[in-house]
Amino acid sequence: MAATTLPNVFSGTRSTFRVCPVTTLKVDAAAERLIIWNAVTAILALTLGGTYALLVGLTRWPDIHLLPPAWFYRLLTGHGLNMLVFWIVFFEAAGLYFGACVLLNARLVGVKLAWVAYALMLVGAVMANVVILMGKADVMFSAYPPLEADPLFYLGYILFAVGAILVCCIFLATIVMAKVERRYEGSLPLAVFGLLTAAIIALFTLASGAVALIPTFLWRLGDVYGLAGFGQVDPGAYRVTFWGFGHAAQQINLSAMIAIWYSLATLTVGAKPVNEKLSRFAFFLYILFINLGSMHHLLVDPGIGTAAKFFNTSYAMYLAVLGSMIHAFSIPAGIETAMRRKGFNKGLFGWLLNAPWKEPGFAALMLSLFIFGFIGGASGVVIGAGQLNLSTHNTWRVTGHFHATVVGGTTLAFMGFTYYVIPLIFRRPLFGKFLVRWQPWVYGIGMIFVSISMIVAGILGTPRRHWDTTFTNAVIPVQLPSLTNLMLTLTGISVLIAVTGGLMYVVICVGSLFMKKREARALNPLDA
Amino acid sequence: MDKKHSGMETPGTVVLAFLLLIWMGFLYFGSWILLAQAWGIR
Repeated sequence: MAATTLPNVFSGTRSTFRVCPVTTLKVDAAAERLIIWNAVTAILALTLGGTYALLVGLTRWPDIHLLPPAWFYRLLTGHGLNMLVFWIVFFEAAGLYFGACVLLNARLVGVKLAWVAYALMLVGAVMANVVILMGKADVMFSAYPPLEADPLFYLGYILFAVGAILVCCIFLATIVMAKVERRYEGSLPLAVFGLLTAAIIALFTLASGAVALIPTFLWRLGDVYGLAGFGQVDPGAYRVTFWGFGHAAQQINLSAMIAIWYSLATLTVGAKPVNEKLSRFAFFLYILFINLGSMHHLLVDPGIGTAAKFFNTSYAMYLAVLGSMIHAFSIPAGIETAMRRKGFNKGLFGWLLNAPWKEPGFAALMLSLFIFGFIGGASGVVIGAGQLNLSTHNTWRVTGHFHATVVGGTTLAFMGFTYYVIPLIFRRPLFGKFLVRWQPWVYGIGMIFVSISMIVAGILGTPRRHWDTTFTNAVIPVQLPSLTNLMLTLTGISVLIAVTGGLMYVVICVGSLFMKKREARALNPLDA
Repeated sequence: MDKKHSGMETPGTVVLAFLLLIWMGFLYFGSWILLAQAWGIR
């Protein structure tokens, strides 16, 4: 194994790097350990969230209706928190260390602090999960007051967020030192620029989360322990600050996903962005406009004026969407240019038909692009408009939209990227290569049908976060169209397919951890 | 480069981009039509 040392500017010591035989990048040993630990923890969170997904999905399937009501809301809270927060942020932490250290050939600045951050995130995640399973936090991941949870739930959330802020600060320090110590030439690579965008958004996002969660934690602390003077939390004010955290957090996932899209396009077909300045500008648009666009979560809130609502969602949000439109063009265009240069020039789509679909990274990339673009992003732009939101708010149309974006888009892209991280960073060959080829397809197609059936059910009026949509024994009876039953059943069946895809991924990752360690032999994970 | 095309470097992607725009337009206006029907607007 080739190793090299490079001098550090301020401390006068030298850092040891191993040189990757496939990519020739220099890998800092401390960063590698942190990438591994954060990624493995992410997959544990995904497994837990995925198990809850199966149980919740089988409950909303009307003919099965598996869980009793309390457990449905309990595991739905656990599903939301484990998937939307813990899985994604632990994976992004691994991604930030990868981008700052491996892609820049740099050393990790503040190694001890990085482990403190990991410990905070782990303790926060475990605390929140335990409190949820104890039945003391049936409040959904959004935890709106006056819904009450145990103070330890909010404390877990806050500790996790503090750990995540530390990871972002370490990332920023590392890329600054990488520049100072001249570890790379020219500008930051585009993928690292995308991760930098994610880190910048993360800082103001998590600050907003702190403003939402700390007073709520104090309120519950005062309530539970009978302490006076800890105040109340205004539900409207909480919602504003929570969604300042909540939506911008999705934009972090979006920036990270797009950075991974560019990386996968380069890794699989050697694509380069057609106009790198434009791509960077598109990332910059996210930073400027996403917090304004977050107003789409608050369109039915009574305490906010219509001018603010309509400016933010019908003007400002579309500038963030413009960023996505630029990337949505740039990445396929980069792939097309690269494939045409390789000689696949036949007709309009010869470049696409002859692309390496057998490579799991490419399949994951294209499925993720398609699902995010055509299903998730498009439906999001539609339901984010003020007037339309009045009929879509709190229906399953919203759930279908964000399952397309976060699950079909971000999670699938992360899964595709994992298949490169395992041979190159974990330095173990992939377990179950016959599973690896098909996993993106099973998961992607499962999620396509989950999202579409949820959206149609929502259009027909199915509410979200609701145990029994037949409204049995309701004082005011509600009769949803009978087509809804079909849509809910289709969702249930599709959940089974998607969970199978998720299980395949977990089996591949866990199995690979037990394979014999050896250096990667090729870039294609199926040959490595 | 394939001379049969208009000289664009990425004609396939341009077609895909148009498909996306048409699809988004369909979703958007379809949603408005559904909303107008629900509100009884003719």
